[in-house]
Amino acid sequence: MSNSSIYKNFEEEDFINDPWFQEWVIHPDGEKDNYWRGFLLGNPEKKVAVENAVKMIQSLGFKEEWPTTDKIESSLLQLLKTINEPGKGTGKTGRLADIKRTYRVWWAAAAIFIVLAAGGFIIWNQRESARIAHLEKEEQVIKDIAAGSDRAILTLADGRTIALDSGIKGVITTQGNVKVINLEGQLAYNSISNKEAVAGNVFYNRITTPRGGQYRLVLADGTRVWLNSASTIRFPTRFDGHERKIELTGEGYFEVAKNASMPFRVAFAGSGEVEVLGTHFNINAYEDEPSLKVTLLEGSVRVHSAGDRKDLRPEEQAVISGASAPISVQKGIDVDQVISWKDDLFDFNNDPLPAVMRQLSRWYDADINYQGIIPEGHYTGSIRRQASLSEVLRMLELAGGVHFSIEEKRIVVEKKQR
Amino acid sequence: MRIEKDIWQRVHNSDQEAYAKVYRYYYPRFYNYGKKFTSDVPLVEDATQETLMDIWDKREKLPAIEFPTTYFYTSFRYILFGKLKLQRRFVVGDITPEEPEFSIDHFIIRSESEAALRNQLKNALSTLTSRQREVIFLRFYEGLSYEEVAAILSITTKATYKIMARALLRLKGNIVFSSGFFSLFQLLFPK
Repeated sequence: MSNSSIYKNFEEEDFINDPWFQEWVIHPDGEKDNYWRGFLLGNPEKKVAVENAVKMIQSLGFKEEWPTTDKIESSLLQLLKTINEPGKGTGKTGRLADIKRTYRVWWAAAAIFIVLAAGGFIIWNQRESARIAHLEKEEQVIKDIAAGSDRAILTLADGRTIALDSGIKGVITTQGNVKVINLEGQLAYNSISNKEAVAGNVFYNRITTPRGGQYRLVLADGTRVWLNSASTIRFPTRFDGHERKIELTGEGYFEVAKNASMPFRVAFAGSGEVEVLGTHFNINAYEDEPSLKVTLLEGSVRVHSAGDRKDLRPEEQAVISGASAPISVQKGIDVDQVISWKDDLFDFNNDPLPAVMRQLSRWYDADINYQGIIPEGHYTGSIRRQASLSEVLRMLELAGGVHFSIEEKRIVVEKKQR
Repeated sequence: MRIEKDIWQRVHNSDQEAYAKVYRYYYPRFYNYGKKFTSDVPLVEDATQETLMDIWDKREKLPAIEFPTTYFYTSFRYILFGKLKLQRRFVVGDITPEEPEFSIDHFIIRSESEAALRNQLKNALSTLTSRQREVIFLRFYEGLSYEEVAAILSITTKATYKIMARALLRLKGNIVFSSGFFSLFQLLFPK
């Protein structure tokens, strides 16, 4: 127990560094609360320092990445099975390290079996390892609905399609003088050499994420694009001429490589267009959302829609509420919330339930079915997108006012009776 | 939340139910910790599973282990880093540093301040070393004591205090420096 006389002379940074003080912030309990309440009663001039030190420690958070419950349970089950099968392999009883090598094979076999039982939905032609990685995720759909994952379909200029996921590694195709490289859920377009690139042909490619998929992309000019689920982007394999023009439906976050002599234009929702020189911004242009939103994080952009145009500054958002509606500009936007999806978070900020459900529908590839009236509550908080659907729904239920059930690929929403 | 004390005694007595509890408790924690160093999910899963297998295989020696949590975190870290190093040997032209990096991407700034100020804190965080980030993670996120953090990183408790103090000072220093005249806390927590 620390002596309060030491703390009398503490400044904020001393509190932040004090192990016993940290212990209170990390593992608070009644006894520690009482101690610090007492200290502040006797030393009211330290209140600001203590308060700020608490905030400082609490503001340092970490992204949480949990494995799915199914993953843990199936790996545990396999270990327990081996423990209880004496004499297997080497003849020793329950030596777990022996099964390590066979584990993955078993898992893959089980995954294939379950998928076949589910009705052979395999339509994508991809490499075996990638397929298995993908199927492992699909298997979980049976009990619950697993979180979305890195997957998309790439359509080449000649109409060929390639299923993308993080299991496929390396150069997947070459078009003209541009290599297309897939790595860790990201596709990159690299010119083979700068000289040749100037002379090569321009091809248009398209990437479509299904519901429950997301993907990242590095365009030929170095521009980085994060594509959310149920979205499509069409772009040239390299940029030529006086502008860089691409098309988007759904939601994408862009970090545009600077090139003042070649403006970057994103066309969305028919007549909308964002014009930039080099900047960071997010476009939300889903057809099922009531309005289209362009949010600027850095730099400046010009938004065009139906004859109207507006320039945005950082932390401003252009909202377009209809095909012929004028553009309205909102200031002081919480940009981190807008792009939380790219950091694998749902971040709700006083959002009505239908807005929350639309996001879940796209990420978990599930339809929404409201039984009776739509509950009127608003939701605030963040949930990691790696959570399974049932985990997310449980959290929303805890917030109150609503009850969910999962039926096949459908979320049934009911207002909770008091 | 900590796991019950007698659980290790029960695992020692080959109680599979207790082992399942240990498994469910540590699997997500190791996985979450491991993901800070690599995005290679199968590799993290392998390291996690291997560490947990070890707990069962070593159950006879459990009573001799004074701080099992620390022991198994250390063991997980050792196994994970070993796998990462092995993997790196096969990557041609890889210029990544010898020690695995605790990625900056995993920090979340939870303060309610404006986005610009949060970005400032984020920038300040990027100036920390991998080890400083890991110490912050183990102390403030995992809630481990300085002694436990020191054991996991195989350094002295005194060195751990120093690393932490420098990290926190650095966060302060950077922010004050980049803004000029406001104090860190006014910047972080306006109003």
